[in-house]
Amino acid sequence: MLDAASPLAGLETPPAATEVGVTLRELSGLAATMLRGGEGEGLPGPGGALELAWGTALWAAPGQWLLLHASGTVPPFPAARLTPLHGARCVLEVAGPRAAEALATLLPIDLGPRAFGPQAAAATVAAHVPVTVWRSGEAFRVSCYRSFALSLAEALLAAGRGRGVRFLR
Amino acid sequence: MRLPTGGLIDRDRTIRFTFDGKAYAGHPGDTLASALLAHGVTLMGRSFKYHRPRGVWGLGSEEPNALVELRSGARREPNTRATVAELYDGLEARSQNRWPALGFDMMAVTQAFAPMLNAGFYYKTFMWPAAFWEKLYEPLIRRAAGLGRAPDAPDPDRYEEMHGFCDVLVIGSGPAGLAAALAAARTGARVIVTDEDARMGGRLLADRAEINGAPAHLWAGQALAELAAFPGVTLLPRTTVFGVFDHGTYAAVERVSDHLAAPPEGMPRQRAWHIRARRAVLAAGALERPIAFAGNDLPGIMAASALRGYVNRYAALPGRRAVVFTAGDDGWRTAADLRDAGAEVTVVDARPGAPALARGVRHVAGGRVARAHGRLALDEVELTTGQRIEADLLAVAGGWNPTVNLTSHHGSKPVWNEELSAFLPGAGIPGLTPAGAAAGRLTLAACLADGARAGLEAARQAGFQGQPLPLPSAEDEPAAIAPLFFVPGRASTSFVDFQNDVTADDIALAAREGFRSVEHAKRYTTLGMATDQGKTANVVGLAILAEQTGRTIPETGTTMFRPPYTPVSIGAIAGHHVGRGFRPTRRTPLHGWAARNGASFVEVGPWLRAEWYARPGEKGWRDSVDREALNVRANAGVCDVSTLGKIEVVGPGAAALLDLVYANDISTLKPGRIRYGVMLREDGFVMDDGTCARLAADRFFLTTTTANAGKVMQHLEFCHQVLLPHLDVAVLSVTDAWAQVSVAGPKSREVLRGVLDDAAPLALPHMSVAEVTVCGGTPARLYRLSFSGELAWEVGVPAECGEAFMERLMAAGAPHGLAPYGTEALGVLRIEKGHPAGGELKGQTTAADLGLGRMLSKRKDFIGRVLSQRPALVDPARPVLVGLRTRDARQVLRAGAHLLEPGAAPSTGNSLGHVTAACWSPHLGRMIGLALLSGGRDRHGTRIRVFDPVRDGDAEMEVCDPVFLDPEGSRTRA
Amino acid sequence: MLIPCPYCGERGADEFTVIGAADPMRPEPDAPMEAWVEYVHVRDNAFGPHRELWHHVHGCRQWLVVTRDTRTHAVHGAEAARR
Repeated sequence: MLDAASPLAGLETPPAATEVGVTLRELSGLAATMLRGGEGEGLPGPGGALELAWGTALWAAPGQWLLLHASGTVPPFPAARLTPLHGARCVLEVAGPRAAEALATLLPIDLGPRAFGPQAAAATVAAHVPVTVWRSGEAFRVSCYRSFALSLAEALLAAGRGRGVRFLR
Repeated sequence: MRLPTGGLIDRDRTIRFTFDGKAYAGHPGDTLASALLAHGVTLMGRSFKYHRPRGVWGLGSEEPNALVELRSGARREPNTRATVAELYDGLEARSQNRWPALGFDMMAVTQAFAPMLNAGFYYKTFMWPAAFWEKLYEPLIRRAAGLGRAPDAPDPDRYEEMHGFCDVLVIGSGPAGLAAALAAARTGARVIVTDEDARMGGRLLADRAEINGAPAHLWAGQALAELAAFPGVTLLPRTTVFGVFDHGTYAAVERVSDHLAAPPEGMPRQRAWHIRARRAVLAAGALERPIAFAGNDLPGIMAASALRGYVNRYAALPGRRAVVFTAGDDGWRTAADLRDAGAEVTVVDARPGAPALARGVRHVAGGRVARAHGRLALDEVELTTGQRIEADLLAVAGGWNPTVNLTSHHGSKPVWNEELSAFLPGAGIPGLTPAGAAAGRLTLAACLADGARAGLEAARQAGFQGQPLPLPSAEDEPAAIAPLFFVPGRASTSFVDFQNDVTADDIALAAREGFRSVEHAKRYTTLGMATDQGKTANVVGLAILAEQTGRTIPETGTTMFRPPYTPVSIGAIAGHHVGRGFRPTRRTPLHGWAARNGASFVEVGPWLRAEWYARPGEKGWRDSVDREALNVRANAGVCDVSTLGKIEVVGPGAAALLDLVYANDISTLKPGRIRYGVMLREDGFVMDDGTCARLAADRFFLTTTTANAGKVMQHLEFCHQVLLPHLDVAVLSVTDAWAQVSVAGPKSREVLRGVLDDAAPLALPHMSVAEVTVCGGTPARLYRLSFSGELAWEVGVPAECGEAFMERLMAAGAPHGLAPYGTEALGVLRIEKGHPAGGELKGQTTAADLGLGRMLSKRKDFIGRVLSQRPALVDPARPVLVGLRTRDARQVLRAGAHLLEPGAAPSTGNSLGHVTAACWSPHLGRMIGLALLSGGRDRHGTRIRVFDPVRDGDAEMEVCDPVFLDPEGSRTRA
Repeated sequence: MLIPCPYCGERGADEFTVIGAADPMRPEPDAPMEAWVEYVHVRDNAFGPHRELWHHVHGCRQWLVVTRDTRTHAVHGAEAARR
């Protein structure tokens, strides 16, 4: 089998800040799959994300869900309803006390606790890159098309400047 | 002088700064203006047109005169208001618009030409003789014109953009703003409070007023402390809301580090805020207006409320003998504050019957100032009675203009209020409520009450209930005002717009010349068109215009206020969208491999694509490209085609959707087979071409051109959701899922045997697709199709395995001469085979133009079917695709050249078409190209004139079939 | 301008592209040429409430019919075009 490579190879990361306000890391080893059809199966509605045993389900469109799961696994749905997307998405986790503030420089949506609570997800745009963002515990997860990954990571690092950013490898 | 006590400055610390090279000292809390005034410096600049000596007029961002140049080098900042420039240690400021020096400005000679330089002079002067314009007048005017020097080095600072969301936005933090913010915050609503000043509190900091029996600024401090403790409240000082946009969107700029010598590491210089507020309260206060009289622009003449602000907030008293010229009660407050600071005060109250409102000052009842005298500063005030008063300070209290600007950013016109002699907000903007002085309330108690009410109501409308704010006690004495906008006299030195040097005379001239509408008068005189947007000028100007044209002020009307309220730096607007942040770059899954193997990258939209792979010893791109193209047809080449759009269309309705979208039949395609497809726009022109592979009855895999991937995706979604919503189908972008390469050439089969786990699918016929595994079990897809005209396959592997796959493929292909090729060689190969691509698919060609007319289905409806047959699109004279061959190896052919009948005069009317693509063909040893030529099919074998005047091309070349090599297509079927 | 996407909530207009009037219906396949020319090229210049097709390209990628007042930009509602 062929080895997988990260789309963030070559990312220039700043030296770690002394007081860390924002951490950024890539959730590697994930694969994406698009699911067709799933009403009434406990999948999230519009604007929702659900972390399940086999992975994360994100509402993508009426009757469509984006599934993120460990590479090499297949989500538990009939194959006819699945379209494998392999490494089409890069998922970055943004965490820390100033994560929301850094994201507010890039995302044009309200990420406050009332407007964007647990299990909230949104498809929007950040630094001209189409992204899906959702909450995972105290952190935020941002997913983009693989080809944009390096640009998005650079934009997130720039947003963390002055806020104590640290890239976790 | 600096008063010995008082002021909201930190006397324990000293700040050193320079102005025009001279050293001064100030305190934290000072502005450049207040520190200079404390030193008795009143001359700060020279006016724009006439170079008249000017000093500070106001207290804040409305300042029209004291524009200075701050800093130096790349951070040099022209036209900065000294009244808002916070003092920092080492600040360097310089006056502007004077040569050689502020006190002795030779350009003041322009005043002698003043009669020639009045309103609209540029329509009437410097016109004759015409020849003088370019050589003499323009260079002279260019040198004399303008205000301030822009820096000429790149901006070293960083800027940021921030999105803010709140339930209630409070604009302004004076008494009304603070009351509104408290009322809203106590309901639990999310509140953002902005103020353009560094210290919040508005006029509570500038007036000697009392709240609850104590100095008002103490109450402001308590209110701010309470607000800062709410987690849902964001306080933004140094932040100006400069524009109101639709649906509760407000634009603001926060001056994060303007008050420091340089931004600290990691901090932006300024931050642009996009605020979405459910409701907003405009507590922007009011601005005092001047009165126009002769000489009213001398240094030492200030707004009365500003002068007392310098005394109260900054303990700065710039003179000893003051005259207060007032049209209402408010000027008396300045008189009292000046008297208590130790100045000798005379109040000239224009209202004959008004009583004295302060003791210890001289009172001239019913008096009017006719003229101010002085050379570089005021030294004498002359009344209309002829009485002269020695003075070095003249405070003018002409009345208050509520700061309504933001309410009219959507075109709502302010409404004149006769009793207040002021414009009040008109119908306004949904969701934005004016409160306090901005709404015409002019007592402190009324401002507090109005703000509290507006804040509570805004919170309620945003969904938060609460209790009315308990109001502190404050004075509630109404201040009477009589309308007085100008004193007749020498109108040519009665200034109305200080910044643009517009006088009462100019306005009268505009009216006489027929520019009677306020919009015309504004543009003809430039009244209100300077960087202060006429904050101190507009109302006085239109009062004069009204009088000149025999109308009332409401009849004359106002001009439109537009964003920005105060100037905003381009850097703040750009935010972080500069340099690499300007737009994102898309990299293919093979980018790293390509970079390590000599790739030169070209931008194709957002993508980086390898245009060729240079080898050591190659002297230029032609060496690489020729080698790559020759190698594909001789051995085998591999090209990264991952950027082409890839779309999977899945579900029982997939075939029906694709039959609508493609011009040719798709539903007849069998699983395992691929068909070349053309999509038209509904207007009949070709939108895109690509391949359609059927993986199963209900699963199709489409490719599009790189440039049109987004457009095709959007089109498919439109056709499904809007035209055929009942179809059970999903349209999925899979461009990023697959690393896709094309392996082409006579040895391509041998190369692929080295990576496929099972070689049997290589025997499938041309235009077949199979799901395979490669390199020991990695799932992949194998497509037999050819863009180069050689025996070829495309292989798709999971994107994350792309680089690993390339390494293995290159190793397997080494014995067979496999070499990578880039987009340039790809272009050569496709031109040699006459395949349409970008140059031919620009949205202006039909399928028939490209020789694809027979692909249009006759059995079904499809997008573009009807209009593709309209007369203009089936006209036999339409240019059609042909090949062009140069006659020898020296002739140069370039895309964009026009085609003419040999002997015809070169004109666009005679153009028969143009060259769409051209390249050097290493296989034919000369340049070739593709073109669209009228009557092209009948002209094969004839000569055509290729006319390229912009690049000095003019030669005859041969028209031929666009397929230059292997016209039977036998190589792909090997 | 904010568009109330029925799936994503209120979002800035930057997340969308707009192509124009939603009311013109694609003619029947056998309709005459004139009907097709009208459908593709001819539009009223509405002054007031206008039903328009917006595509939430940087969001859920759903096509919406948005009712917007061309004079005031007031948006009176948005529904999925599928409905």
